[in-house]
Amino acid sequence: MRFFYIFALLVFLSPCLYSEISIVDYNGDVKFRKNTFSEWESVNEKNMVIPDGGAVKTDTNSKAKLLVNKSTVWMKENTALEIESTSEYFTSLGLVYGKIKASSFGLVKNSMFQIRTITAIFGIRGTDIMIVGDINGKVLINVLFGEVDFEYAIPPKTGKRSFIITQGMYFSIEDLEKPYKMGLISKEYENEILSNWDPFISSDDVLKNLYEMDNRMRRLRSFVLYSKALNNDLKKFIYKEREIDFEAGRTLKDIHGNTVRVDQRLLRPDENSLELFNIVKRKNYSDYSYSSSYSSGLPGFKYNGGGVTNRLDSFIITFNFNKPLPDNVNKWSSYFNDDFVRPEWVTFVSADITSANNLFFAAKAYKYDEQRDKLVNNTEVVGVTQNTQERDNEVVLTGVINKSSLSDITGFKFIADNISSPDGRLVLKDLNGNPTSSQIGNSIWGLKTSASSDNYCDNRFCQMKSDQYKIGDNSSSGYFWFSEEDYLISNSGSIRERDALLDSNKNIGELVKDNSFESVIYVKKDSGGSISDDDYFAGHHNIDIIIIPDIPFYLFDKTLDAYNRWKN
Amino acid sequence: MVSDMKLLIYIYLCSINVLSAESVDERRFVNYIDISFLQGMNFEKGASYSGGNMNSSIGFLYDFNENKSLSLDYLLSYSGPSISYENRFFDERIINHSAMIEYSTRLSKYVRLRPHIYYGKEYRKDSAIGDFTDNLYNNDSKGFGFSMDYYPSRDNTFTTYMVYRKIEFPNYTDLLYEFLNPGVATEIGGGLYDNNLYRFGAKLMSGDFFYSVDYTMQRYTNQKIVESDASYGNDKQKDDEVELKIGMQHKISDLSIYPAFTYTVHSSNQNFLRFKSFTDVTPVFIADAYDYKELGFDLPVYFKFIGLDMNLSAGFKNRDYSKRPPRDSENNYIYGKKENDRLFSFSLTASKKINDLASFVFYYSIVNSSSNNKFEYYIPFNYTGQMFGIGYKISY
Amino acid sequence: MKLFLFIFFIFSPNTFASLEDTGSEMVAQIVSDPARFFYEIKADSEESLPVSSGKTYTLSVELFPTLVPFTYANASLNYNIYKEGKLSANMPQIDLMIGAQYMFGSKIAVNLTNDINDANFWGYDAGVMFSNSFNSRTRTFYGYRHSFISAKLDLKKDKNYELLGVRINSFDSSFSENSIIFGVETLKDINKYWAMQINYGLSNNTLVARLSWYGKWFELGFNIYPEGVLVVHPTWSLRLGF
Repeated sequence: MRFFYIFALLVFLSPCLYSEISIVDYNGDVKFRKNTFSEWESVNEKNMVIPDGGAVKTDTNSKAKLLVNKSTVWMKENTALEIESTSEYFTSLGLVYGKIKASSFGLVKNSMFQIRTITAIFGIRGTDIMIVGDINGKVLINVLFGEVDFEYAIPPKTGKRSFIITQGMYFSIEDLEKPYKMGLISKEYENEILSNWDPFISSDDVLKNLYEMDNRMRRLRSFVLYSKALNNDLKKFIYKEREIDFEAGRTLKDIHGNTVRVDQRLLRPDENSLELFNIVKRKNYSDYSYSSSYSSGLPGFKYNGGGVTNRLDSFIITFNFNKPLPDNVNKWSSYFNDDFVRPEWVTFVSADITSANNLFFAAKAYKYDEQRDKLVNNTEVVGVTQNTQERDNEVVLTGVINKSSLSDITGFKFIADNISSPDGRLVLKDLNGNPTSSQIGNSIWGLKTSASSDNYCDNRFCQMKSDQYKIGDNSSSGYFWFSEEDYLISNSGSIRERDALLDSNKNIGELVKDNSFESVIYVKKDSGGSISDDDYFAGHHNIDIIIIPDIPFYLFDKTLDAYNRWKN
Repeated sequence: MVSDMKLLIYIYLCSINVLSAESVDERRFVNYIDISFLQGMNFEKGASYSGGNMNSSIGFLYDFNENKSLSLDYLLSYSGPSISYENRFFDERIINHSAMIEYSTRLSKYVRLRPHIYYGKEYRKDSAIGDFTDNLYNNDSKGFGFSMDYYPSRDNTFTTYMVYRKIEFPNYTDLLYEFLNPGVATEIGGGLYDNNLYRFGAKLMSGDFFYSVDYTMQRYTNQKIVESDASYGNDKQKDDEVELKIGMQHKISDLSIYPAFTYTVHSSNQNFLRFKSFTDVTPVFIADAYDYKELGFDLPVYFKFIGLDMNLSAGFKNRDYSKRPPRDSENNYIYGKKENDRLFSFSLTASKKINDLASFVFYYSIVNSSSNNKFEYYIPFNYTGQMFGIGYKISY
Repeated sequence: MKLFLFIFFIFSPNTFASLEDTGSEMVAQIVSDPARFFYEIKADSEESLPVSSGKTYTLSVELFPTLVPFTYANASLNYNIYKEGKLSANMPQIDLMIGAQYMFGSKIAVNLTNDINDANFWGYDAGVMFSNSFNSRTRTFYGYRHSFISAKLDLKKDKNYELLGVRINSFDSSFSENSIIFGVETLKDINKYWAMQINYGLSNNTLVARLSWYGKWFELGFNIYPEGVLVVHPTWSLRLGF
């Protein structure tokens, strides 16, 4: 096997061990000599090899092209070049006078390719260069690409003896007694180097290389312009007309393991209002008894509904302000900072909206109280004067209505029937705020009593709450229980651990994207002052909503002032 | 064994050194970059906000021979808050990047064929907070195209082309429609706006003039038509557009002008249900709400002035909807009229060359939009906006 | 100088709205993703220019705004492993880049005040750059870089901290980005260069345009972050080639 490798080595490396310079092309009267002592002879064939110690010169109207290893040297007319050494690791040529162009590639590591003049030594490193020199020592080098190690052949009186001439620079020595000159290569010299120096090229074809490069650039520019124009033309077909302020959406799993799609929208029903709603869709809502181990067995948290297909739930918050909102979202920040702007009322409505004619909802409303200068939730929200301490408790609205009545709840168009002796029924209010005879479906309102229970999970973000409500403000109307289990869940439906979340390595943006809030609401019957597992509204078992924080997060900077003013 | 491998590797590397060689004169490859960015202040109806844009492209071209070449172009652009109507609304940010590879082959002195493939991604965000991933209107497009250029004479070029794009919105759904349209079962995995786009066109450039006609079809794969009973029908949405363009280029000394008229007819079988709110139970049905005719005129002018390269551009668009009535400020339709939108724009760019490649740019633009549609909660229709900006650009 | 102030002024978000509103919006943006904000400061110090002709490696330290005022000690090394045209005419120059940053001011702040339990900001980046010449004075360059930053601020839990109405909470987060880089470098005079480039982050869609003027010793520039809190970052670095 070793003999095979040695053989392969000899075959492949033989060019590495031995190299030579040859005249691969020429035009006119080109002469060569084999060494310093031999006579000049005319070149009469291509690929003539010139040994080390030889020389080549061109006469007027003569050119030559030499190849050594993978480097090429072109000689213009009236140029003389000495061949000093042509091995793989050290190539040295001497420019006696004239103009040459050199293009060197494929230099192996630690090899040297140098061109000497009377005054200078240029070490070429992977470059395209042009050198003009004369027998008096004047020299000009233009470095088109790459770098050149320069060294004075005769050390100067002052200054550095050697340095690097970098790409794009020219270097010239006019007089050894004077400092050298260095500057940016001129366009004329650059074009001259890039032109075709081959000996037999016609004058028309000298600049053919340049024209071809220009042609390529022109075609490439034209292609780029075409690509941009096409993109611009097609962009408008991707544009969709906007009908809302903000939109967001996410697909995730809920606590029961159902795949859920949540769409969140912010829009403006009128110039004074903002409506944020989450719609939650589950293609398959699987049957369960209790949502989690934390609510398992707790009275009032049992789900009696069974599996449902194409289930829709929603959560709607509607804000109404005393002044019209600016059209431009960029002005909201200063709007909310205005001391004269306040919310008039807010409604929070959760609803199972799967069936258009039997929407099961639960809602809370807040109304601005001028005396207290804040939004309050008590009997005032249903138009019943809060004249006792008991009536200052929380009020909740619930019931089964059809789709057309949902706006009556979200739009704060409800009022208690029979204000003087409220029995819990909800009716529409007229433009003057007085009750009409139109009952809003099968909806009721309740006033919170002192009976309640709270359960918190140990190390997780969840809570179970049950509160008893008196229907209307009339004990004879009866009671119902409002149960709510709330969870902070990940996108895979697992309940978040308190410590893990608070100590997590995530920023707010990531927390927003990775988490959402699930709330499951039940309205249960009262059984002798205790909560039962029977649903108050027969056939309507729960409202299961998921709220994503995306839009509030997007609006964080625009609504910060509002949050700071009204957070309590 | 290991030392034998080392030896083989050494031989191989030497061979590469010996066998590969190419002089600069034999380069068949060129590349191209252009980068521009502009940052400025927008002023509109008493509000001011900063915004800008960045556009860059890298191109590569390789010539196989004098008749065949391969080109690649990568485009990256960012569009920030601006008064321009191109965004969906003022505060939107868009990042778009795409790549196109085109193979060009010259069949004869007169005919050239250029097939291409394309892939692009677009990210859209509604505010400064949040990131670009997983947003509703993010979309992908991929496709291919084919052009044929015919050069009957020096001053005449005729080009015909077709383009196909598959456009997908992987995150977009609209559950609101499902609630508002009972019986509809929407997908929860996104894709409501997915569509196949086909565009065919022809362009004649003759002397100083050019004439073009383009026909674009969009066929939606999931989006269905809204019917007058507020339900979704069985038919899927189809949009068609024909655009005619006539223009010219004329040079007088250092002044170049490129006026162009455009006439567009857009039609769609989609209708519109206007819901004032989530709970609106009396939506208003507008049939063929997206059909319109639009006339446009653009006049870019280039000239030099006190050492600056000036680019002045004036434009005008008038859009008339065939069936859609305008709305008042309370979002109520005004029947008996049809919506009409007009847009005037004027921009001035002054570039000062600072070296061979780069220019420093001053930019000013003013946009006046007016419409008989006064419902402007989400998109302003009646406004005047201005933008001042400065920037840099390079190209070669 | 006046032009500089004008540029800075015109690029500030919402200049003509209330400055306090603008400030609180900016703070809100930082609070929503602090690691991204500190990444933008760190990114200013990342070396993203090719090794100049005639040099083997470049060492750079950013003085402003990274070191001053953010006290981010930083250093970047760009090492050339292959010169352009070494093997063939079409072969680009290949450079390897590496850098590291550490905010020593955070530790000083911990010792100076009782409000901060712990603070730690550090990062690194590594990448590869290719460049090839368009003509003798112009080069195009393109490359890829991976960047990482860890940002931690642990405030005392029994106090509420606010800045311009925005609640400041503790955070401990990281930000990682994989960027593509492309640009153009022009030789203006002996040892004087000008470059313009775009860095686009594929992982998080970060976008920055950079303008640089550099020579033998220093680099001056502007980094434009259109989605950043501070849109324009003027920069000044010590940049040495060997």
